[in-house]
Amino acid sequence: MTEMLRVENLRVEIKEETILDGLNFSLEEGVHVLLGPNGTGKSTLLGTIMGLHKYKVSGKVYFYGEDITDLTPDQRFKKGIFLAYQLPPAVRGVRLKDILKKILNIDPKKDLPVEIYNYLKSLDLDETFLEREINYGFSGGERKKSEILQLLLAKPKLALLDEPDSGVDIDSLKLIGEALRKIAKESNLLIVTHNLKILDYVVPDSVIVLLDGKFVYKDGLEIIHQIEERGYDYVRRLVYAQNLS
Amino acid sequence: MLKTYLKEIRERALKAKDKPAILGPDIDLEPYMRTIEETPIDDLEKLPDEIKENILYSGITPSENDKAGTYFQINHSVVYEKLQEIYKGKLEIMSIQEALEKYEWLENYYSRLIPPDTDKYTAWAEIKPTGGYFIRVFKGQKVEHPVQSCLYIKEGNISQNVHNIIIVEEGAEVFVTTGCLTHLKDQPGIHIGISEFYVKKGGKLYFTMIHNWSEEFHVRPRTAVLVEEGGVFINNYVTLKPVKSIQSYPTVYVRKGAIARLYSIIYGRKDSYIDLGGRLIFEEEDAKGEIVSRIIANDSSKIYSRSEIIGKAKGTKGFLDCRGILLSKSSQIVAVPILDAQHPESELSHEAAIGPINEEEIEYLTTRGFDKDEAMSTITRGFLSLEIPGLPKVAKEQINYAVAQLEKAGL
Repeated sequence: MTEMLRVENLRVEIKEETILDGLNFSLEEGVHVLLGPNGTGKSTLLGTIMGLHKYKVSGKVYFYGEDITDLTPDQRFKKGIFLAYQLPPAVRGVRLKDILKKILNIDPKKDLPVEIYNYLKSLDLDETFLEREINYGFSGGERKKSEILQLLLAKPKLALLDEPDSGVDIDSLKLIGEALRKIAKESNLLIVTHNLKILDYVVPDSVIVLLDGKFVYKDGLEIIHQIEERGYDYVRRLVYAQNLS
Repeated sequence: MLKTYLKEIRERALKAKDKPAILGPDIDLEPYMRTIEETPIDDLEKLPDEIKENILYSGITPSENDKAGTYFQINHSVVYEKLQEIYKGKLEIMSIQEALEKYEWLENYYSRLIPPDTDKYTAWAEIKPTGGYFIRVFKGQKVEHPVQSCLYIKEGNISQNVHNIIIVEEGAEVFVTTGCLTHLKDQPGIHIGISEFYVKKGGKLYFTMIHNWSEEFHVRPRTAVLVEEGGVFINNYVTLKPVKSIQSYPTVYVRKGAIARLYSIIYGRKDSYIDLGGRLIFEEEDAKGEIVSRIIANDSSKIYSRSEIIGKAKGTKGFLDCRGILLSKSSQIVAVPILDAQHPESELSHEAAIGPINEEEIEYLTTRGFDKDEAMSTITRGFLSLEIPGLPKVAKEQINYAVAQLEKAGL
């Protein structure tokens, strides 16, 4: 298997507070789910892989063997990394269609390709959605769908998904799940979630558990059932035992 | 008698010729009071290239195919006025001087909304008048194409003192777009504009004004509008170029069931001093309106945004919305919202927010492939692209065009 992502001695601070402290792990191509208790730095990890500049980063991030640590988010986007936000911000006066055209790198004056209508339909959205100011007045579900719609068009090598399933109703979850199933055929995924229902749609090749911003425990699917039964403390004990040995 | 009335007006003006305005830096006007005559032309295409190019930024086009008519003034002279053949009998356009000679009844309109002794600027506009337009749309006529007027200054060290009157008669409808501008760079000058607009019962006036002055120009518009029962007045104001100082505080009197909306898009650059207000007075029941401003302050510009709604009657409803972005440490935006309810069933509200461009928004766009500069200009353009409900396509296009010039201006 080809190594897709590697993180070496990654340390991330936000406003003098250390969020991630000396992380080391690598991911092969495929679908990966990132679990961990609240506040452990999962979103920060995704943001760091995307290159968000609010973070102070040391250590290295490699994408398909290339050191991307110093690249800006737009450069990383061009390398094929896409971050679907948990809570994307509203940008007044900028329409969803403006963003989609940029993602597709087409002239702002030109029309979007017709495939967009299939994507809209698959997410139970109509074309007026494209005219709306991005994320402005969007419901929780609409924000998630907008992120997924962008992702469908971006067709990245690596999709980073920050809780694509939180705060959405059952019907929307199904639509998002189906979309992810489709995306997983072409892209590698790293999904942060607390709702394991999404895994009915995409079957992960590996599970990564992030603990206390310091430890990454990588395992197969079976760890999920252990966590469901025994909580994250079970993994914490495993990690500490591993480190001691 | 109009003649006697005008004499009285002039006498009142003379008494106020040194009266400073309440707001804005005081300007000594007397050194600017020389007169320059221009020769009329018979075709806008005959304007000098420099002017032809420049007026486009204010939404004025030399080709008049999509215009109902044109009024063009350079310095102190009307150089061109024309009404398209198909609009004859629907409206009229002429200089204010011609109108005063033609219509005795203008006594009921001229200087009725703006007293000549308001301040030295209204006074000098009367003492030394140098043009201005008169546009009258006849009862029930809907003028589909915009009327364009241009007040151009091409000589330095002068004051252009115009007095404009628009009358939209009962049930009539018109778009008027006015470009006020100069191409001068280093020479000082003054533009004083008295504008009195009357929208009669059920009439509609969509008015767009685009200012393109220069770093040494002082601008003192004095505007008042009367919107009669069931009428609509929509005003769009855009200023994007550096200016020495602008001070204006238009007042709109809104009668029964009428609507007034004032929108401004202001981009302050260099050391511009911009003090712009808007006042809606809901005089009768069910009058409604809003004042919406989008402001960007860059370099060392200082911008005051004053907006005021006075609700005097039952069922009146008003909203103020002022948002600003500061792009530099030495710029300043002061938002002064005033809500003055004088009736228990008047409903007034406001929102105001000033701040930097939100970093998170920039970052979000960069994750979608915009580089940082593109993200900033996209957000800025988006911020200035007001979504104005009910705004006619023509006016919208003009505003978008003006905002698009920002990029050319090197934003």
